Amino acid sequence: MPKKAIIICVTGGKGGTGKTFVAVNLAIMFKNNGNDVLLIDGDVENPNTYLLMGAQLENKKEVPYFIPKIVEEKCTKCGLCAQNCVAHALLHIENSFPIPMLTVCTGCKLCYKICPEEAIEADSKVMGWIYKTKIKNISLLIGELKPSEARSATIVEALMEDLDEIIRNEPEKFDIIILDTAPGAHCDVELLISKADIVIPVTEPTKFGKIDLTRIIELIDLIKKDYRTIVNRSSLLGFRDEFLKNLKENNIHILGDIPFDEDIVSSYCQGLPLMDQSNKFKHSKGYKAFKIIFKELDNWLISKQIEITG
Amino acid sequence: MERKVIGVLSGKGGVGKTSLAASLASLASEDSEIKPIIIDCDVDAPNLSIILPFNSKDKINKKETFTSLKGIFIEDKCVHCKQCIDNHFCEFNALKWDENNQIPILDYLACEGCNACKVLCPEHAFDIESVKSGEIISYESNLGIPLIYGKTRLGSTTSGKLVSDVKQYAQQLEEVNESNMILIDGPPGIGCPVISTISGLDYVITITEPTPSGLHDLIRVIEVIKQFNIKFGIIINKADLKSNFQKQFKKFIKKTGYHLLGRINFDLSIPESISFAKPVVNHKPNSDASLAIKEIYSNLKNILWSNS
Amino acid sequence: MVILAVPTFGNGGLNELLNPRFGRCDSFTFITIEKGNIKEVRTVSNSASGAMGGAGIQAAQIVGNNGAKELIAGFLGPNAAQSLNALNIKIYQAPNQQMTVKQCIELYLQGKLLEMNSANVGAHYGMGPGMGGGRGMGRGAGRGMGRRDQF
Repeated sequence: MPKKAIIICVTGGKGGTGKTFVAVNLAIMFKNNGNDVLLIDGDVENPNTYLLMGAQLENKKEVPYFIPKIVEEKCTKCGLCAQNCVAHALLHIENSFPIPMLTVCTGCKLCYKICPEEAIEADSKVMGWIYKTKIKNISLLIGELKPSEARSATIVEALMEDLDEIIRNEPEKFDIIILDTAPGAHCDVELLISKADIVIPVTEPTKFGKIDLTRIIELIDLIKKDYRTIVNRSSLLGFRDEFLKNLKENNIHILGDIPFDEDIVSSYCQGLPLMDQSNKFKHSKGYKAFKIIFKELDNWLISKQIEITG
Repeated sequence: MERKVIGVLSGKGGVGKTSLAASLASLASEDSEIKPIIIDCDVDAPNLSIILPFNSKDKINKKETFTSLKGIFIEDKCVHCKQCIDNHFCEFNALKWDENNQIPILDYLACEGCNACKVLCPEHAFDIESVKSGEIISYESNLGIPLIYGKTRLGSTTSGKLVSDVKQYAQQLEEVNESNMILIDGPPGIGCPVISTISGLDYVITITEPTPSGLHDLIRVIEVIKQFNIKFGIIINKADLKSNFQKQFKKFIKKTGYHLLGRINFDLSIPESISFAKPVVNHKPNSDASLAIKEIYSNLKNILWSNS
Repeated sequence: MVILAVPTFGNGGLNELLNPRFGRCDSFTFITIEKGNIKEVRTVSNSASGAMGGAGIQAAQIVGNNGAKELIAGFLGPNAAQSLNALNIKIYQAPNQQMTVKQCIELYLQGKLLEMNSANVGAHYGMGPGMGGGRGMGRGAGRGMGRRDQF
């Protein structure tokens, strides 16, 4: 039987809880254990994985997006396109050419498909980019939304198409694929969760952390995925035990916790991952906690009968 | 004083937008010159209402929004011609073919409600309906000032649209006419909900932390703000973070000449105040963080109203 | 001769109040002005007032279809502003107080209304909505540059 890559989605609801930190260091740990790892940065509004790994953005590829273009020589000014556009992205005044309103256009192409005169051409604009790079023997696929463009989902979808292609054409290439999501519980996050075998939400021991975690777990349940939570900066306010107990009482599955550790901040700022093989942070609290979490993750995968080859 | 609309944005999540917004709201509510209204536009994670809860349960207004459009399939009209699939009616991959029943399956989550299937199907076997996308809640907060927020319905999110709806809803409130400060707590990122939040602002407070990702995301959100030609100032949260990145951060501010609205040093009284569900300026009024925020508030007032 | 549009309450008309909301006003009052005098007054109900989305764009379309080249308005959303700009309709800022159409026209004829240019229209009008569709579930929308031969 050909081996199949395990897809792990790291998410969290609330921003700034340490999603990218966890995603990057899990990637490092799996790689250190001899796995082939692909890390996909699906936080396309603000992709940060490469910063934490000290990588450069390379192999830029444009993600195009449909926009209508009116061919005035063919257009009879009939207004059919404008009448049928739900988004009202075509402005039409009697006896004049329709004017595309690009900020509200959804790219559905209906105008292009129904114009009886074929007077609408499929033009395109750049919605963002995808980068492919490799650092520390980890393959990185990064999506980036162009600032001032709105449709982040387009970039996430393009990333997932690339992922599908990799799985289809080179199913043996990767053992582990890690997806890093944006904060929130919107469609970008949802799409990445739906692609994963297992989900790891990262939270922090604050009221906001708890509420946003509950919301993301609701979404994970809705998509019918299994998850285990990581509580980051657990020692911050002295609420660690209380917080973990509270999660357990609410039947929230926990993978483990990582205490607040200045070495983590320092690793973050240097672009040198905490679990890096250089072992610079070997004696830090965070390092030790992460090791335990990784062991727990391994146990969980085994209990789910997902075997990691490598 | 002329009414000003102010937004709090960050690019990066979790850097203190909501904590700052709550404290600024509290300071504004105590300021005799200011009549504020607070709006939470982080519709994916509307947390401001936790720190600024309602005054009286009877005065909570809830309004469901039905601004999402979704396609529906009318099986009776389908003649199983499969044109919808073969001719690729749907650009959003929301139509799949059910071989067993020889009918299309409409993926509700992927559907954009764009009208294409409805218009293109020769048998008119599709229609479009509006569905619940979220809700808008408004009440008088414990600060005695109005608070309005939106909350998306999971799995049906069109968060940018809901942000617009929340702002539009707020604009109709009577209290707006008397107010001279509308303070908006924004979502993280730079995508649609952020763009919807930015439009129509007079001033943007950007808040970040001195880390590489904090700076990276700040630069991106500033790029968006500049497109809208809106004035902005930068607040550095956790400004004394021990990091070798501090130098680079300072260099950035110096080089760009962007306005530094204030600095807030790392202070446990902030996470602590969240746990007590209070703005930090109320929880520990004399903490370093509170003093810094008070200074930011008076700087902000100077910037906004010094000309009038 | 120029046709001037004013968003109004109720059925509109010279004695009706100017409605500060553009896209969702009840009606439009169109005033034809010739040589500094009111020549004709027409009212059109705003079919966009209850629209789910894109009211600003649709309202701009109504204004354009009725031949107006100038408009007096209070709040404008960016989409409305963009549409009016695209249609080359001049926009005058309505005074920030209750006023009848007649009073507005008087100020207009006296040259006392401020014209908004494309630079300040859009960014600084009220708190109007920006993106209409936005981050919907637009999964991969419109990226395939498929050819028309499918149709």
